[in-house]
Amino acid sequence: MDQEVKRKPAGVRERAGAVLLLAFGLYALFEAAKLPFGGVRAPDAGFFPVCVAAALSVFALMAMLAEAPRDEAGAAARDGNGAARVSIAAVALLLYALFLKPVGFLVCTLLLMLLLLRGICKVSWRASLLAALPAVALSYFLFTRLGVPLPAGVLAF
Amino acid sequence: MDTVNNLLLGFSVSLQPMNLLYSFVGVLLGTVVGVLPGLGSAATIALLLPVTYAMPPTSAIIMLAGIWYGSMYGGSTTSILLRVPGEAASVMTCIDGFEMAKRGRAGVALGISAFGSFIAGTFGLVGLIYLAPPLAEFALDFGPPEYFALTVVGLTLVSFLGGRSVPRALTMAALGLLLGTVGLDPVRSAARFTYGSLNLQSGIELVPMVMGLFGLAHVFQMIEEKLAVEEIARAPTNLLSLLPNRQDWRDSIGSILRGSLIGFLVGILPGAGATVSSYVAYAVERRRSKHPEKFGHGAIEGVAAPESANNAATSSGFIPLLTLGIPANVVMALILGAFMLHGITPGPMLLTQKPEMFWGIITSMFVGNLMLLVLNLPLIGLFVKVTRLPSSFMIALIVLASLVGAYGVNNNPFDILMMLLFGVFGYLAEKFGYSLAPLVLAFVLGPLMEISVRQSLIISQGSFGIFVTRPISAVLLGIAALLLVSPPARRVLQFLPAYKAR
Repeated sequence: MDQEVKRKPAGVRERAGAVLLLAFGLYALFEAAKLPFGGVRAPDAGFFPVCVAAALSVFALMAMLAEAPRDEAGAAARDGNGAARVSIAAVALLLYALFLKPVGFLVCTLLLMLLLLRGICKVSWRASLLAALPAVALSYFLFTRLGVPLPAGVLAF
Repeated sequence: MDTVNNLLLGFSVSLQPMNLLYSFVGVLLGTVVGVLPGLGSAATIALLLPVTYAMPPTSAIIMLAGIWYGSMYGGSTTSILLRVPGEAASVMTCIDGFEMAKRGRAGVALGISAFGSFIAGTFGLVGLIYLAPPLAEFALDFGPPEYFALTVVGLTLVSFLGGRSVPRALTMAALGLLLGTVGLDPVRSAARFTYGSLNLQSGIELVPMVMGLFGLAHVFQMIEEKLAVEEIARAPTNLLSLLPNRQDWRDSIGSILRGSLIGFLVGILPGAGATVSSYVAYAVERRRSKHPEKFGHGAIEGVAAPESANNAATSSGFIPLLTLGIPANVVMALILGAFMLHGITPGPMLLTQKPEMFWGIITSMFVGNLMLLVLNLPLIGLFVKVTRLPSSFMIALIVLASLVGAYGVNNNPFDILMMLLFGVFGYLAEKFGYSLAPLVLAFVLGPLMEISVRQSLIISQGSFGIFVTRPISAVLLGIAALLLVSPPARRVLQFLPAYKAR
């Protein structure tokens, strides 16, 4: 709760985030430089992006060299199983977005809910189905009534 | 007289049956999310932003505001009974609130927390009523340089007060500004960072972005580490046990009033908000107490002060948004997003162009605070039961709401992809200790900052002197500069022998 946050020099793990952000800042600076910059009398489309991309790079460099609060360093190290579960969920959501239109909301969402409940959270099949089926059907009914045209996909007839 | 008329106008809006209903839904949802550890008010407001499309704008803001201050009430329940702060702003309440509960005084702790919250919320609103109109009138004279300076000082304060590490917070703010430039240039309509994608031409949508950063990122955290809570102290069943006695009131009324004042003042500052105000209020009470040794062992002042402060801060947090159009914290940024979804720009013109909306929102908070007081005390037992909802079902529910919400923005799966992208980013950012608040605030303020700086330079024919020759802009930029140079200056000073000797 009110524990003191001790500081220590940042290690490789803590610096990784700053390195990625620095790389992103430099890439954004390179891309922004292609836009028309104008001048200080009449700044053009590239003026602001160049300035903020440069600022991002400088701040990321400062973050890389700065000390890291110890509790955050600890937070970066968690068990591998948790990370694997998160990766599975993220990939499932990616596939969901890709297949939503052709396959449809009902099928895709039901499969996703079952994966989350049964596959990742280890809820029993019975409870997973009892929770997922009405939730998916109800949300489809409710949101299509509210004017959100959720794709019917393979169930369109 | 003007104030009375304005309040009457406001109450004529906020007491309409539909607005009363939305206010009730807001405070109820707010209390529930305040009770639930992890799922914060920012995530809930983010998830509900798409729902507000179909609502009248005033009702939408009334509901979202209700979630915000309702969560402050709810956060105290789990802090006191479970030693689990539902909201970051309730962390300080855990210390003495839980100690009181262990000593069989859970009812009094919950009662003083609810009464203190109500008094502070009302105090904050009175301050808002008297401070907002003159500030809005003052802001009418603001030109592009002043707005640029205001956005600079706002982002600097957010980075200094809200983040755990200043360079990291500044990095996130710069990233937010950069993300805000994606899409068509606001002046010449040139495409920037769109890579030929039509989906990116209108820029990154706020709704999928915040749903990802707060909703989905939270789901990923829940998947990684199962959040489990257990009831340590029993919820009181007798309503009378919630009523503080005369001695309790005598001990805590000063703390409530001081907490209210501190919360009000700190809440106006960008980046500080409810969490910082509760820390400051607790520290002040401890310092000025004749018995500081009681703090941490069930001092009622240790509950009254932070709970009052965080509620007063939620009210005063609306001042910069409603009068200047500048959000003071991430929740205000989301509420600014809700305004923008309805084509309304909050700021000095809101008071003159839409007074019924301005005063309707303010008076709705009076009504909502009263609802919370009536709602919270008898339903404490029920709210404690909410915390026992299995996290697996919460995960499924949040994912379902996020998917439908993100898709509903443009009826396009691309927005789900964006939400996923920001969800992964938010999850990793939290893991590596990067605060998301500066990113969202900068993203929302970015377009205003860009237009202001470009217009200022065009007006001054390229002279940067325009930012320092105008007094308001000069003062604001001076504050930002002082904040920016202070950490490096301290670091340089540390190498000096005289500084070391201190």
